[in-house]
Amino acid sequence: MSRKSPMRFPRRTLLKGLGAGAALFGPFLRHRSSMAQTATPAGNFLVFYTPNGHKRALTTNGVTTPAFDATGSSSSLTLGSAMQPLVPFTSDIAVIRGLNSKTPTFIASHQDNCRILTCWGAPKEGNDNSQFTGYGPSIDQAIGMAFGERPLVVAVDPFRDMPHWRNFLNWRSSGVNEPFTKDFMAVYTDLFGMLTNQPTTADQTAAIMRAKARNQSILDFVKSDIATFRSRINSADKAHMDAYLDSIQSLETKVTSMATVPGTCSTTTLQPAVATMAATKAPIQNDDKSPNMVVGQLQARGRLWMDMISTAFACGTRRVATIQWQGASEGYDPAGDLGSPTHHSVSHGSAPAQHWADIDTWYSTEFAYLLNSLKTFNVLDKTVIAWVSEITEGHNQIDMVTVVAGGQALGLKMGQYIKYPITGGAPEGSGAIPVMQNPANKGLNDFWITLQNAVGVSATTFGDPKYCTGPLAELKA
Amino acid sequence: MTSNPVRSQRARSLGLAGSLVILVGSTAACTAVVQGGSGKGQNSGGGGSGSSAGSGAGSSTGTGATGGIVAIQNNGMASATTSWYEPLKAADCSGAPTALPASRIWRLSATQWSNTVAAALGVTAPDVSSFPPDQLDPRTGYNDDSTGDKITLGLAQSYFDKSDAAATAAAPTAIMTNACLGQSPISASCGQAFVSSYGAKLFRRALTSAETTSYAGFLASQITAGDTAQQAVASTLKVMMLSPNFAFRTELGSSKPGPVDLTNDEIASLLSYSIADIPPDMPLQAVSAQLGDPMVRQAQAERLAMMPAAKTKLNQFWAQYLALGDQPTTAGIDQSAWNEATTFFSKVVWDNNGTLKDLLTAPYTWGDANVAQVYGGNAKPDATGKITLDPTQRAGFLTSVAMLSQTAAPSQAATVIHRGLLVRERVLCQIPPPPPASVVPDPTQIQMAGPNATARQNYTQFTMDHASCNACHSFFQPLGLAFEAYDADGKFRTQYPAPISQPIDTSGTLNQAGDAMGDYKDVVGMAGMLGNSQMAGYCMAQQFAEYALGRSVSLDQEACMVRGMGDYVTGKQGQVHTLLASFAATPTLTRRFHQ
Repeated sequence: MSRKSPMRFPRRTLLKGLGAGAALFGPFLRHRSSMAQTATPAGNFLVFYTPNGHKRALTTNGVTTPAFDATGSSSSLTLGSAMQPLVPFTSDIAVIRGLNSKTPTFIASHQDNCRILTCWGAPKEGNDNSQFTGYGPSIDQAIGMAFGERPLVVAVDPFRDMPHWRNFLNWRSSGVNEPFTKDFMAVYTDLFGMLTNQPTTADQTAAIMRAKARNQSILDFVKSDIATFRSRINSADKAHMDAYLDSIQSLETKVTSMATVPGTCSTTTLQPAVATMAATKAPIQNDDKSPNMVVGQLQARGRLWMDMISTAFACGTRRVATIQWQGASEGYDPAGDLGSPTHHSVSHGSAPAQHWADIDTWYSTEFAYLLNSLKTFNVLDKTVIAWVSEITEGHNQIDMVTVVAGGQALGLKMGQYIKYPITGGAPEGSGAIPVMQNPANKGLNDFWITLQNAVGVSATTFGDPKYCTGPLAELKA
Repeated sequence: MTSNPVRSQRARSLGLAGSLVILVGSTAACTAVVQGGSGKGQNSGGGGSGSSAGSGAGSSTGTGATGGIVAIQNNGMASATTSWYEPLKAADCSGAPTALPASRIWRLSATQWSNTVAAALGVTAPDVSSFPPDQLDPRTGYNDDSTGDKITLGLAQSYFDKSDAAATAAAPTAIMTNACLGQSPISASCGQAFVSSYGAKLFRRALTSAETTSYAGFLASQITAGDTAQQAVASTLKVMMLSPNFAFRTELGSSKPGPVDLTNDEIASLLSYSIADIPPDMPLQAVSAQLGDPMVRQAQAERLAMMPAAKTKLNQFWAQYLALGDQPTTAGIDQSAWNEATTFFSKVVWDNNGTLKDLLTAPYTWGDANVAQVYGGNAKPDATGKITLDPTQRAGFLTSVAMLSQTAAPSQAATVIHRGLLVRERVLCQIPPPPPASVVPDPTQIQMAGPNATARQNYTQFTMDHASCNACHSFFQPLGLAFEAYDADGKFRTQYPAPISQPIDTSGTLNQAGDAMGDYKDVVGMAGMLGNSQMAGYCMAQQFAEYALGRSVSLDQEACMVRGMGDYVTGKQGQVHTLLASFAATPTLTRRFHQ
């Protein structure tokens, strides 16, 4: 008999691990003070994450040309070779060069995956678990809390399941990682389970409207019941009612977002695709190794996730999401159809530079797929998409190339190239810290401020306030 | 036992990388002394009667306005006291309780939810297999948890969907039963009669007049909005099923700060759900007004304990007591071992009115050829599945395939520790202090005698290399050495295989174990001492109390209740199934401290 899970008797085990475990698998609990919706959503927000940074430029015969970068101005954009699949969407994207992750990072490396979306450093710096801990909330969770909804966090990799620092991208709050999900059917049910068939007659529309109103009245009554009940109970138990109310409010979001207008929110093609994908399970490997010849699976899963997110945005069943293609410091090599962690190796020079650019090109193709999907649903201009990585070429967090897309109905200016100057060099390791923290260099904080403002969250800072100087004026129309 | 999602999840969720493999990485490790203090007279309610009150233990809510009565302070942590037995025996339980459990609400488990819907609406019990599983309370290991398990979005969604189906199915009958609901418009009195009738069944209590008016108002609003009577009735039932008044059991009494008496309805629910997972039935409701009388409660509890649902509930307790997790779905030794462990309990406890001693010492079991092969020798299931075991090698559940394989770990040291802790923590309710936070799990530190050394040789070396650590490890690790007579699969052996190739010394001494103390020559001997022990019996009562009451039960603060339960079982010839009714007469069952 094999023994992968030796007996764990609970009372003893409590003594060392309750906090983290309870948080990781717990509900999306929020304090009542922060639970209420504090912002009216103006649009949708999506993080598109790929690992290991990008190859910014290629040099051939002494001539250097942009790869995952661009040229241009505030009114023009010419995409580099690794961004060519995005050419049809040139007017829908902006490329920003020169942002810096200003966290007081310890090793200036892939571990900053934990902070790319949080812009907070550790309370103390040291060679301990703090380097794997995000001090949040991350931008998606912050926006989600302002909207009163739980953001969707999905991972594409078919072969990994285990939570690991390489995947610790999203944080509900400091030290509380928001785990990704890979369960297509569960997400589909969560996003679209309340949707009804599209009405085709006035009677059908009226019936749907009545069902919607009925469910709303039921949930309103339940909320009232919860408030009355809450007043009677022991103070220690009030968290039970807070959690229930939290859940009821999330249900309410679904109920009130039921589609009633044909054409804007169809799940007709999505449903069978999800059912097919849900029936397909890859063998899980929880180290950072995965097999070769599976890029087709990666692409199929990624595209289905992107279609689901686009549909959710169109239906209004979710407004904030993250799609995490791979974990930091690992990753398939789509250009060579090789398993993980070849992408990481390539980024460290295991293959000619062109190969790294080819990987970026593959991801650009997928990003183009996403933009096309959003455009098809007519939500691209109401959606802000940020393509980020945890690291830059040079193995530090300096002088990033960041792609932002959509948001033109939200006051963002696309079709441009923004380049912020960098003061200082781009050393690797702890020497990079003073360069990225130089006040003359622009922080990623300001980028997130700009985007959260665009989707309706009016906060003037994000992450560590000392690195915030305000929204990126250049990105605003 | 590998394919165990529940246990796997627990291991993940608690981040247990090394909590049982306690070993050293710091010179400051393990200096805690495995002793605890527990004074006498710590009366928090027991099965006895009398007049003198003890002093409340571990309580600090103030007594100025509460007549000296305080709340039991339960911080959720298991008692670190390992020497609880003598104080428990000596506790003064003659007076009225001076420390009370906190008032609380308690979410219905999925089974309870389904049973209550079926009983209240007269519909087929909804299939709740798609509900998110009721989580195991990490403090107790049991899943009927009053404190931690909250209504997540997934569960709320399940409530929403399943209540819709049940309400829709029940509506026609409700209209037939209340014919006035078929008239238009529905009169206010008709609506109120309907919600009063169904509300009382769903909420397990009579509705207040305000609630009656409110729910009847909701019914009327649905009609006004254009719904048919059937739809409006269904929506009203659905609202009630989504109400916290339905989803939660209450132990609130008057909800006034200080000591409160539970209502008769609350006592009835406490008995029926905690014993059989069902709402109060007619016979229980018929004596509701008398449930303040411990004799009436006891009689009702004993009646409920005879129900098939109570048998199911006690069997589930056992599976969770052994941390078996869900039944493996794939045929094989894991599934066979799971089946054996649960069948053994059912056969011993229910078919043979067995005792804890039987569970600890029985040289027989029930299983299939897979487990028989592990037991070896002449072990073979007869026509009934019963397997007669070698009484010199096997004794009850401690030497079962499930327990031995489940406590085995990749390292020799971790296996020894797991098995030692099995005895201390589960059988004797003695929880050693946690390893210091600075300790880094490192099994190699406990195998310093070399990879070819016996576990005993390694432990002896450990006691010399890490004397401070051994202050704790000496409490449990030597007990695990006796289990070296069983390999990782549970097969009996007298000698280690190569490269160790040495005979196994299984002898030892069970110390600091109340009336179970003594020398043993092997696990069979140890199990015999435990089986004859009153301390083990009280420990089992405490375990069941945590399961039935859905909360941590402190052996220090609730000594009288535990002792009363244990003595009740003893008075019933030690039959384990009488645990089900053992808590019914406890004085603290009917009172709470509201804050």
